[in-house]
Amino acid sequence: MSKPVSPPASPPASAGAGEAAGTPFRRVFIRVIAVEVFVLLMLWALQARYSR
Amino acid sequence: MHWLNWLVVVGYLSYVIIDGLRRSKGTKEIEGYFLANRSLPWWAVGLTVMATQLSAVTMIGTTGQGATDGMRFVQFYFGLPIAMVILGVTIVPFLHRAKVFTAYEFLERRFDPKTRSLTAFLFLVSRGLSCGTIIAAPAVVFSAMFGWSMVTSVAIIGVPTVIYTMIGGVQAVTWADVKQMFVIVSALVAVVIVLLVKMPVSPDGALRLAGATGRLRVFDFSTSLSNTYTFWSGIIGGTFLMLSYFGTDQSQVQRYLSAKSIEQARSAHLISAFWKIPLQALVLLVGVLIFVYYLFLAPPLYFNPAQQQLVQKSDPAAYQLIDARYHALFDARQVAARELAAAPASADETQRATLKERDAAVTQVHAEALTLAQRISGTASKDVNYIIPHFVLTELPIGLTGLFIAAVIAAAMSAVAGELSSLSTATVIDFYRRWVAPNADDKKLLFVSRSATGVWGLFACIVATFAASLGSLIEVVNRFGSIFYGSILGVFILAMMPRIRSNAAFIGLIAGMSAVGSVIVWAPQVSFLWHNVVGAVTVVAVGAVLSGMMPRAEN
Repeated sequence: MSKPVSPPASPPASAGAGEAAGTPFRRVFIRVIAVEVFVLLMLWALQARYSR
Repeated sequence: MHWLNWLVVVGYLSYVIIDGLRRSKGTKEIEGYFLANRSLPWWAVGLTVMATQLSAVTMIGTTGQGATDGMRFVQFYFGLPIAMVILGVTIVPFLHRAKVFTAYEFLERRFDPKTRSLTAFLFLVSRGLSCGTIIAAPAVVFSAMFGWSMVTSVAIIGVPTVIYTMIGGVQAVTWADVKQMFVIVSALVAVVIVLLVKMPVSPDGALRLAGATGRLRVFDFSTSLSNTYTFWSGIIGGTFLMLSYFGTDQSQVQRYLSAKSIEQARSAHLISAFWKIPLQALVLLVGVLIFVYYLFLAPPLYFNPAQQQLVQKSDPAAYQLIDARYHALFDARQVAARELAAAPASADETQRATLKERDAAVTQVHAEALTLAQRISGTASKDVNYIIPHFVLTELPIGLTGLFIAAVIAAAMSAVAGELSSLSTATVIDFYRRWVAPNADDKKLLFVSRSATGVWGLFACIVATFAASLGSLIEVVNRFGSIFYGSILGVFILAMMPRIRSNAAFIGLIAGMSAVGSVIVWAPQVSFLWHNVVGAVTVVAVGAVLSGMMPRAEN
């Protein structure tokens, strides 16, 4: 017999899915993506300058 | 190797063991042993997450790849930051809040025992064998470089790791990992500094030489599914792979379950999100700079000394012929490199083309030499893994050589310790306590856990010792692993979706693995990074559709 279908651990409002380390998730996401884009641009610049 | 280098290595190994034993305090209960009483700070968890993933293969194999193939491997990690953020708001809070010991335990709460047991079993099989290969990779290299037997090489890496993991549990593993990461990064930075100091050209000149030979080409935007490392396979396939690895593999899940809180676990993931790509780029750049260094200093025909001796002894005529050609072409390439370094950057097209052409000629002769070695030894040559060990032993100053050897051992130990700890946890929690002794007290469970760590350690050392003869078996297991990785991710995605039935999830898991198996058999040209996408998408689609079709009475 299978168990109940709903997930047993849904995020409560106080520590919800929208937060990470006390920071709104959207801001964390933007920060991570911004850093990744910056790193990729650095790699792109390295390639563009030296791999003509 | 100079005795001072050995002193550094022995001193480091002794320190890790003694500190590991000291950390065994507070591991009198099962939660302390497996999860450090869920008390670790985010930065320690973040470093242990990175250390577990960074093995000796990264230190010796990836740097070698940088030297021969350039920077493009870094694309493999492009999906990692995205995956870390997604995990921070999905699986991490779910599992942390569920107060589970293993990821698979959560699947029984959500679905049923068979889904939990199957996923835990698949984890044990694949990780148990991969643990052996993680020890074997550096052990083979040490064996060839220092003339040790495989048993000695495996014991040097395996025994200290098993001791501190067995006694100290996840506390010892985590705090050892923090130190290991420090040693690893220090060694890499030291090698870069030495390279830049000893290089006969300026850093800008070195990068020009690397760029002219294609070593600084990072991005490949081709959409071919058979091309393993492209921008798209990294961003899409890599995201699925990293979601699966960091979100559902017990060796990683256990790390963040030991964090003080959900917020701390999320923050730990962000360390990898921010630092993984720069760290991998640094590792590859070390390899690229070593390639440039050897444009000016004639490298041996084979970086693997054991292979060189074997070929010299077995077919001296062929060896001398190919060695002479190799060195003549090397001299021509060196002239081209010096001319390019001396030419103004604005008008160096001719010099760049000449260097590229002569580098291709050297590469061609080296490939012929490797074919000769393969014909004589009967096994595929992995000379790429000996590039950095050769450089370290012949070019680094006293003390730094020891630091680098210690860093390679540290990388192997941190990866193996994390895996041993997670193998023991899954064995005890998902099988022993679930099926054999549900009412066992902590004292008994702790004894079984330590024994399980020891047994898995012994198993990994045996696999590592016979890794060469088990080569094809290990390859089968690795392929087997790629069949279910994405599929397990699919099951966890289903677990977080409402109205998904247990049997639908189980059937979805089987369907996902079958779909990936079919791709491997009928479309073997498809790169393994795409297998994860196929597996996860199939499981979610089949699970969701079947759940919609099943009558409500089923639950």
